[in-house]
Amino acid sequence: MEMTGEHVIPAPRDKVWEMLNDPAVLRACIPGCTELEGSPEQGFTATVKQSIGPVKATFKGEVTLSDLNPPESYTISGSGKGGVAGFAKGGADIRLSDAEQGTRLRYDVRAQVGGKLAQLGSRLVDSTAKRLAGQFFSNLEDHALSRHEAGTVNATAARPAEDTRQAPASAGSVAARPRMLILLAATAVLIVGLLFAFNS
Amino acid sequence: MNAHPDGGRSGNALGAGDIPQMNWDQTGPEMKMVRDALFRHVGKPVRRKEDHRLLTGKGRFTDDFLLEGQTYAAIVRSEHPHARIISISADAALAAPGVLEVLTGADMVQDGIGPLAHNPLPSTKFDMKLCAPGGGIPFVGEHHALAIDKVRHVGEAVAVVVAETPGQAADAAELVEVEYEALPHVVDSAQAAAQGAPVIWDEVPGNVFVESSFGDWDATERAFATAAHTVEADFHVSRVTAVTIEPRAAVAQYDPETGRYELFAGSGGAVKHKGELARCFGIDANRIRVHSYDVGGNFGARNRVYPEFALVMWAARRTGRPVKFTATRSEAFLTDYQGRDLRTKVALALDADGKFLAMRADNLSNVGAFCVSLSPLSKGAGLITGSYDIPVAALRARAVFTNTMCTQAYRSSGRPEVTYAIERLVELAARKLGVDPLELRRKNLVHPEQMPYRNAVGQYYDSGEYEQNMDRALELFDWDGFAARKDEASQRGKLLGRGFANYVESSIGSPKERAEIEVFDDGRIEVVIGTQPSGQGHETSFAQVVADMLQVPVERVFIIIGDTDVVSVGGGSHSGRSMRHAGTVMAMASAELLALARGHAAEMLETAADELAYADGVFHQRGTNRSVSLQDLAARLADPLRVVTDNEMHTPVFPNGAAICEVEIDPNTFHVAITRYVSVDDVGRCINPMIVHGQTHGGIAQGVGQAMWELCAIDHDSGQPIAGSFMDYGMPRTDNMPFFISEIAEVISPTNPLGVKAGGEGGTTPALATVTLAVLDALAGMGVEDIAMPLTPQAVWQAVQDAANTQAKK
Repeated sequence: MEMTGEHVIPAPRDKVWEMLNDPAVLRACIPGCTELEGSPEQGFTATVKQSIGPVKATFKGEVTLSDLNPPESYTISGSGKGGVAGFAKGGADIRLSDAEQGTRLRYDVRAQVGGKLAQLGSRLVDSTAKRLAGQFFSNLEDHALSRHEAGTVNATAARPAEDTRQAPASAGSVAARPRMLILLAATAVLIVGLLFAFNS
Repeated sequence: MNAHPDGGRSGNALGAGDIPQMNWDQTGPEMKMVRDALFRHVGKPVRRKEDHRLLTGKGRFTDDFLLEGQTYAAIVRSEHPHARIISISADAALAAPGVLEVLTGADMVQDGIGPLAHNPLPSTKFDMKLCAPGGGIPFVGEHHALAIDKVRHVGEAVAVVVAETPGQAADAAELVEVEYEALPHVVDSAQAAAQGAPVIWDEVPGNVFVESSFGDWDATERAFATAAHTVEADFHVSRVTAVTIEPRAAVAQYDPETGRYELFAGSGGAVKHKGELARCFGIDANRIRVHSYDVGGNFGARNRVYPEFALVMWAARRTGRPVKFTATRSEAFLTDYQGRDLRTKVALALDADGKFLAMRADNLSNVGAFCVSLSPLSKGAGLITGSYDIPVAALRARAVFTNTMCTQAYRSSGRPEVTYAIERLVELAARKLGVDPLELRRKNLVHPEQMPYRNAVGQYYDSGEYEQNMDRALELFDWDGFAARKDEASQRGKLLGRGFANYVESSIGSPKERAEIEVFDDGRIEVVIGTQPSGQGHETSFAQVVADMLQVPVERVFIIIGDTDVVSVGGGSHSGRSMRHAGTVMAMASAELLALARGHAAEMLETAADELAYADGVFHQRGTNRSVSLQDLAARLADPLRVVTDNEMHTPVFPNGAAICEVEIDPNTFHVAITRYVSVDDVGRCINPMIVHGQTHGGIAQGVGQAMWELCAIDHDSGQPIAGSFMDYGMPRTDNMPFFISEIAEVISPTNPLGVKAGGEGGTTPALATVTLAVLDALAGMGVEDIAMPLTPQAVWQAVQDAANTQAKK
């Protein structure tokens, strides 16, 4: 199954890249994301709670990253497990380019799902994936705009009620450990991407 | 299809000496009396004795049984179509609340529990015999209740969790961590049989584990070489599942003192299950007692032992507590034994006048990951020529493993598949020759004077009046009024189409059956029999038969089934065998009982046995007013008035008929509505027409369901089943079915004392063909020549688009 899409984020390319590399931003923007953690040595995991039709599950995703070309493109690959809900595995190519009103983010996701998601979700995942994608980018836009206005990262702005915990990596370490943060971003994007891809 | 793979060897299912017995020859005086006594109740629409019980909530379905201290099992299932099991970690599950036990395949091996003993090869004298490629007994794959080293289909059981409550078991099952190494998979039968396909069983490198040839290959080749016309086609009869209203369930307990297992599990035959489970556990069969009472739908899916049956028995022994498993609907969609999935390449040779000369067929059955049954392939193999007199035929029958759920005989096992193929092929031939399809059929039908008719692959059709069925169906359908109906529909902007099919099917089934009849001093007569109804009304129709034979009121006859401590022998209910086998052995037992009773009556009345006349349950001494009833005898005898009769009957029968479907298609939405359906079915002797009609209606719905909506869709890339709920698996319903016009034709079979053939499955057998042909007829004006089932609006739209594109290219 494959899915391709793009979205324009109202921020310059390097800012978008930065946002995608900020675990706090990602955790706040990914619908249902409760955790983003790990280390470059041990790998990274993210946890997303979602329900797709009758299937409710906690998805844990693990990713690796390749073809890094900041602030333009990278490739992520990995897998997500949702317990009895099933699994997803695959990858995504992410590409950023300049657009009139900001930065165009293009994603190409190739994924396979198995288990209950495949058996039960096939009719509902399409709408669920669209909803999740919409939420993710709308949250990202909010962040871009609030950044633009405040000139700072406000990771909790989008979902203040649900996300009050501190990010495991502070904004200061973003610059210091770019690779780790790209991995975190990739994890998040892949999970969202895999959720998008459940439809085909 | 090319020449025979073995270079033209011709072989038939039957040797020359194996002509089935066509005349029932057991005609002692008691049997004559029994046959003459029929028809006080038989042939009448006696209301079902079981309905009051079922409608007032007194049915005894498996999940209704609550054993003291009962615990619950949840199954951890593979989410991969093909993978090696690296490790299973049960620690977290074992620590979860209420969990008593977590068991894996390794534990099963350690406890000495073997594979399920399916015995998949049809083995009666007149079954088409299937062998491994090159000959010999086919390798069928060990089907263990839990996977041991690798999983071979999505949904295969990997571990079982036993807990105090169903919720605790399900929660803990989520905590069992299974690490897999995914392996390449294949789900499609043609791909699995092709070179270089992933190998499912190391023992069968090419995945094809059955390859047999039938018919006369040389004569067929010669006929094709010189024929005026030939047509050929390639069909896939899709995979469906039974969707029983009662999900499969099992509850077991174990008595450590006696070493005896007791299993409650609704099935198609408790006796068979008992024997197979005993083999699985490596114990004597009398250490297992199986109960199967009311069953909420079978259609073949319940005829074979399920892994969970063995698992609850084993877990009950391990935990010392009764263990219950009840499948969720999701589990049923995923792991009930499924049906059909046959690829068939067929070709027909005709002379210049349209007379059929020869037929070729190449059938490939997708059995799934383990071979549970070869019945569909074998049954279909015997009937490839359908209702037609085709002098010679050549058939290659193969079966292949894939990474899918196992298939098993499903509602008219194997017959709808080949009926679909021959009827569509005949229709193609008519189009090619430019003749009326009905006239082409008529010209080639087997005629009554040819009966018993040996078809080109060696099956003997016992009796039937095929052309009469056809004429009657056309009349009931108002075939000639179709043009006017079509005009009327087109004025409403709708496309009307009609599809006709003849069919013949075989009913063979397990050959052995036992009946025990006992008369009690209160006049009650109990009949113990080893068939297993799941809605067919045996308690009524069997009672009608025995009541007529013993000349007693039907209300006094009770049919006892379902407890293997009471029912010792029995072939179960499948393949339309029950009325024929049970009817025959009940007739024999009734005759024996009357002979026994006559002896006792003569003694009691101090007269000679031949001085006694029997009528209405009473022996009278001729010329006197002295008499004694069966009830009196039972009351006065020291021993029970009881007989046990065994019968073994191999001769098959061939129910047959004709069916017609009319559909109306909306050219805007491509929605197909079924507007008219006629079925004429020769079931042989009909015991209870109300029940037979009901069975036929259900059978039609199941056949139409497959043609229109049902499909076990599997994503080929991922190997994942993707129709796991009613959201994605369409079903026949009251709002998408018309009222059926069904009529019973009774051509008495010479093969058994009651003259029974079989009923019900005849509704299903032609329905795939009639519906598809009707849709093709409606779309003929748009150039559509082929369409695959199910005929959903999307499929119809796609077929219309494809036809338009093809025409545009021309």
